[in-house]
Amino acid sequence: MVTLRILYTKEHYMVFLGHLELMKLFERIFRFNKLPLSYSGGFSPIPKMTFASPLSVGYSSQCEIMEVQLDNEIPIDRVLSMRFPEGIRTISANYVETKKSLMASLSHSEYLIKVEFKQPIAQLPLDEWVETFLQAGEVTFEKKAKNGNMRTLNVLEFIESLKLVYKMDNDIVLRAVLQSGSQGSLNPEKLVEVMCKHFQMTQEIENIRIERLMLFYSDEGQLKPLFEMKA
Amino acid sequence: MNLESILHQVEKPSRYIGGEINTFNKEVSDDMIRFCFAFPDVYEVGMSHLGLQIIYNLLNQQNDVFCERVFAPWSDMEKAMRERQLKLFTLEKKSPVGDMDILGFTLQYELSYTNILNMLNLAGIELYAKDRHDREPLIIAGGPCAYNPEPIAEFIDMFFIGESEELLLEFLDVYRPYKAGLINKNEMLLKAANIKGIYVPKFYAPQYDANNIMIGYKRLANVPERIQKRFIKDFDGGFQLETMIVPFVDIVHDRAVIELFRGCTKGCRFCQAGMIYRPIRERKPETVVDIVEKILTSTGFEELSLSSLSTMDYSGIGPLVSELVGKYEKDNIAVSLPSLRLDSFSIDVVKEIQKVKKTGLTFAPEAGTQRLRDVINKGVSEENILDTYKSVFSQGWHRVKLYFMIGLPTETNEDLDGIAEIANLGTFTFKNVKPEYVKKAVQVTVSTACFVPKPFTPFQWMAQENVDGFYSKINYLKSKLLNKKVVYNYHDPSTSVLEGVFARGDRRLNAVLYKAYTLGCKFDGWADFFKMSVWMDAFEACEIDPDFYTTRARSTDEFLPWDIIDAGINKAYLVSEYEKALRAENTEDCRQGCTRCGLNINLIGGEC
Repeated sequence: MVTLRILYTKEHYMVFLGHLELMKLFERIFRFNKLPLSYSGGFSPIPKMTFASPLSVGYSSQCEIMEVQLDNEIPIDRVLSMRFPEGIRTISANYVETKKSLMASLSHSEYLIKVEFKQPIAQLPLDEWVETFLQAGEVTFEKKAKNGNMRTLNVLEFIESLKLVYKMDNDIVLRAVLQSGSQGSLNPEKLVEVMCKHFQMTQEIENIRIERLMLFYSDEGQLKPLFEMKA
Repeated sequence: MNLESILHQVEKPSRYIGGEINTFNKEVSDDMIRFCFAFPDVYEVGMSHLGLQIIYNLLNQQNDVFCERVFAPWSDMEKAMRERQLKLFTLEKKSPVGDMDILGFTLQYELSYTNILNMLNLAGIELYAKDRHDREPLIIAGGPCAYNPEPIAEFIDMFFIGESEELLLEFLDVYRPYKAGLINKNEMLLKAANIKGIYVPKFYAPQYDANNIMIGYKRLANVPERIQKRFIKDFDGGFQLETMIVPFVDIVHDRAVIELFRGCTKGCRFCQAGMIYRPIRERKPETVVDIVEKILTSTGFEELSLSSLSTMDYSGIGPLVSELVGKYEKDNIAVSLPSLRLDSFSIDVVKEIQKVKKTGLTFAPEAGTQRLRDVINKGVSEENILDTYKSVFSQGWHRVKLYFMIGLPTETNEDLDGIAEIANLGTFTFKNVKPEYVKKAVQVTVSTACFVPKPFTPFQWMAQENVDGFYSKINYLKSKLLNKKVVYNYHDPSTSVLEGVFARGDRRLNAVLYKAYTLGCKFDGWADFFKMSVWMDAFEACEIDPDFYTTRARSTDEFLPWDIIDAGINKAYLVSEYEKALRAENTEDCRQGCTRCGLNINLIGGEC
């Protein structure tokens, strides 16, 4: 049995696919391309597939990663030439030896966060605000824990990096590397909400569009692209 | 973009995005005929409909036709669309539906009619056919409910009666000169009305007597007196569906489908499908195996359904199932059967298919006593039921579902007691025959539907039970089904009564439908939306008594609104079946010998 790892995009109308729908799509595309899928045992055998991190409906991504177990290797060319619906494109694929799970290894995600406000924000010194926000030491927010209780957490502990990359009329674009994965995640929409509250902004948000740019794992404290994780 | 921003706000946005595997996205040119297949319910329901897959592929094989799809948007989507003034759009090109040449609705159930009006309105198209100008799409409709087209005849330009694979292509031949501007709309409609199988209601004016009972139709142009249904004579060699759209959304029936045969020979007297889809036409096993391979290798579905009205009656069902299971077991593709007969042979076949995936079992005795099953000509004996229980439970199953109907003709409390007895027989038999290893408790689920008499069945003349009558039967059954191992589900009687009104309605109901729509009725088939009181307001406003259509028994010589349609079956046959029903007399399966329904003589030539 071999593990095939695939890096792919999720854009255009495909951002509206839910995670279960996406998994079903991959399964069916693998089936009709006759990939030698390995199945789980039991009454309802299913192909062994894992996805690094489910993407919320509406988010686009340049960097989704999934792994599928095959009974034997097939040429990578064949993998990359599989036809997906417009909006999903395989960027790269390879066979990996690692026994580490993608989900458990994921430590951070990088996002482009586009926020459109109902009122103009061009006059606000947002660059400075972002700087002081990052220096604030502690900015708390409430998050629901698995047991249902609310927990108070420091948002800054989840932020690896954060930059304002664009500001115009009613729009801003942020680029952020946020903790993500089994040790706890910060949702980019939550970050925007916490920031707006912290800045005491009166402008209302019209909409937020999010694109995921990169998934990372931590190699002795250093963030490296998850797709390249080997050992 | 307007649509994308709406999609960020609604539930299940993937219903509206199109782009699924095996969809078409043709380049649009001026001379291309743009057709939109419209299903008046949500995506998950509409995409489960095999007819859509057939017509979509058939039409898209024509070079000058582009067939797209549209479904009823769910209420949150409709609200967002209306707020942003986004008109109803096709899934393929996201084009306004109003830009189509032809919009084709499928009529699968009467309670979807208000959705048709709502979709036309969302598309910005005039509802009444008489109000539509030449630039608006031609609105056509087909499907089983088109066998009584009258209740929606004022909204639809033309109906396609019966199987449409050949008929649609013949129709396109008269549509092309219209599209090219060589003939006007009326000329096109008149030509179409003279194609066998097409009903253009504007050429037929219904006539009523003083009591609003129909006495016939007056023809307003040179059109046929009756519209004969169409069917594919060579089903094995005709158009074959060799690929299917693979939905993203988890739809109701999310699987590959192969039709084994059309028609049914059982002759169950309540069943409209059994009457209107005659004659029986089987595909050869080798054709089936060949098509299955093509569908599976182009879709990647993990389940294959062997579809028909009565799959266990396919001539070579045993060997076919063994072959398909053997061929696809290694790919973990499960084979499923939509309906099972109550006999041991069915169980043997089921054992075969459950090698891949163990599913629940569903049987339909339909009625509780032998006498009533004889009335409806459901050829199931008490012995069959007991044998089925024995073989199912001894094989390790512990759950079965049973379907029954209430409100059948001549039904008494004794027949309802019979339902409880059959359920109890199941839990009792389980105890006696279950293997040691089965530790789970037995569960028998009883579901009752309320009987709706349908056109072209021997029960088309009878009175339907009223809402109170249905409820008293349901309550009686509840009081009898006290066994803790038995679960009882029942269908809402008021929806069945409304279905009964439209099933056997006439053209006067168009006004009621319009009124109900303007009062806000839509998705009437969904319990969350259905409002009987609003419908009653609509009936009252139009001064139409719904009981006229439901609880009124017709005499067999009364002219019926659907008499304008020729389904190929003689009325004399239906009358004789009705009389036999009242005497609780069986008619055997017509594979055993012709039962003289008249279909072969009328539509093919020669007896069976």
